[in-house]
Amino acid sequence: MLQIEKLLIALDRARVDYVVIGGVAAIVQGASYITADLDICYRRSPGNYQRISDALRPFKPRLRGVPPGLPFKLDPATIKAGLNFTLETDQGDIDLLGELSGLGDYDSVKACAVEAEVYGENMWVLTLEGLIAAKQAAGRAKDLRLLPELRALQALRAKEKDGS
Amino acid sequence: MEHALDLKLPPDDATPDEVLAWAEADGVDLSMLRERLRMSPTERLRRHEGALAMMLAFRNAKIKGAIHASNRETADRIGPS
Repeated sequence: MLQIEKLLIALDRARVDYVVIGGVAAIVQGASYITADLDICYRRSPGNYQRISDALRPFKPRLRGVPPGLPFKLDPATIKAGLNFTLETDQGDIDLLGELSGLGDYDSVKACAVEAEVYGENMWVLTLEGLIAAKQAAGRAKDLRLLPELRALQALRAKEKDGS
Repeated sequence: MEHALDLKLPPDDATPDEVLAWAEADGVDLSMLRERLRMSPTERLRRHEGALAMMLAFRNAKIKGAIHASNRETADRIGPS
């Protein structure tokens, strides 16, 4: 089963530059969604490639949905050569995205993120506005299905801010 | 396979009350969301862990149940050995 805490703490302790996006970000923002994977948007830089591979190595990352035994090593060269990776690990599935549709690269995504205390650590998490923009841009039924709840959370937050 | 979703979004200038009415009509449980908003992010994730574990347990039970039913059906067809 997905161990969000273990994966996030490992990324944080390794000082990976990343933003939590997707279903886990939606949950942090209050959604009742259930997800079986952790999605992050990471900074494309050599130092960060090294930190990502160091953070995930203990969890034996491998490509998801490919025949078992297919050679794969998540190292800086592999991350540099690719962009988005759908991985399975001993702690559950994790997707590493170099770019997020509707928002762009890490810097653009981080501009739509807020710092939140999660599991005792400060982490960058995509805002409701960012999630809505990304889900609308992705346009798949499974993304669009989340919009009513995300828009409702936005409205509840607005009312709370107004004190109404 | 993904199916098209007929989702009519409220206009960008809709008031929060209009958005909430639209979301509720779409099946969103507003009282659950209000409860989630009272929790900390970590509490929300802990709640999710429980829900995911339950969902996976149901799914496994369903698979085991289907296998059991299939085995019973085969045994009934073959008859006593």
